[in-house]
Amino acid sequence: MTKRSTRHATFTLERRFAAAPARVFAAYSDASTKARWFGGPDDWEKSNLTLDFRVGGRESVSGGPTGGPVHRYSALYQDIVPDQRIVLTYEMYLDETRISVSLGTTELRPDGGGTKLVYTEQSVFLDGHDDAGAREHGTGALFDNLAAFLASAAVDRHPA
Amino acid sequence: MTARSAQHGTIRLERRFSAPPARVFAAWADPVARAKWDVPGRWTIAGQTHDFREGGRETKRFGPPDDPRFVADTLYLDIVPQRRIVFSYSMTSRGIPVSTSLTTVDLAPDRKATRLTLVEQIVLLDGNDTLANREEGLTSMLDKIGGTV
Repeated sequence: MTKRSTRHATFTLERRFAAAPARVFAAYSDASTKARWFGGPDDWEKSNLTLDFRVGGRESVSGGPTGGPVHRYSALYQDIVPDQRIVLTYEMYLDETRISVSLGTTELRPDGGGTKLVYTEQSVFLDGHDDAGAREHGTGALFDNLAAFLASAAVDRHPA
Repeated sequence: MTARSAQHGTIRLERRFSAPPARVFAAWADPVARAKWDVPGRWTIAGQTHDFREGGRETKRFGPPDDPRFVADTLYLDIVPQRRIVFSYSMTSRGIPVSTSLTTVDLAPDRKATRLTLVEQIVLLDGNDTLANREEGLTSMLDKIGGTV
């Protein structure tokens, strides 16, 4: 029988982006835009991101290294304030095993001409699938992707 | 314009009930049993749907008997019979966001009794509730479970 256990953890990440809150928010609210930055490392095999961006709507995406376990993300949107706040809960699976459930709060605030993003994740890790900081590290990598995407989109909009 | 805020916190409560885990688990799983405790104090449930399974979603309307202004939308995330329930719920008051919670209920057999650990990870929105108020409400509900099992 599987040994059952739960461990609760919280982390907070803060980032500043040169883009205005409306542009950062749009990177979350549109499926094709979000798919450009929200996913695992570049060399992972990925499935299509599905997104129903409204309170009560679901989101899913999966991916993983070739031949390795499939990491699957399944979210439910709990609260949305345009350009300001997104609250969701999400499950993470390794293959068919649910390893964690998290409550994620993304807050966006105008900061000069840019945006200050504060992300707080409150998690419960299940049955010993405690990733000892890997979740925080992986989430930081997503924000690196987001920063790069916002910078490249700015170049697209303002060619030299 | 509303001043937006998000306050994060964690509430942890423990109880020992003189009933086996199956009885305590049924306090959530069985609609008749749940109706006996699932609002704090003297509040009442004005409407409740049931879908107790992983991925199941429920809506409950509740509040003071003359003003059931709160709605809780629940999603069951992880259920291990007699052992564990993980669910999320968002609460609104007349459509205004109050909070979102991620709640873990752990049950462990303790001879013929059950040790329950409830951990509620919560984000309180726009100053529309307090951690102390929520802990008081959860305490009241666990006391009621103790009275029913």
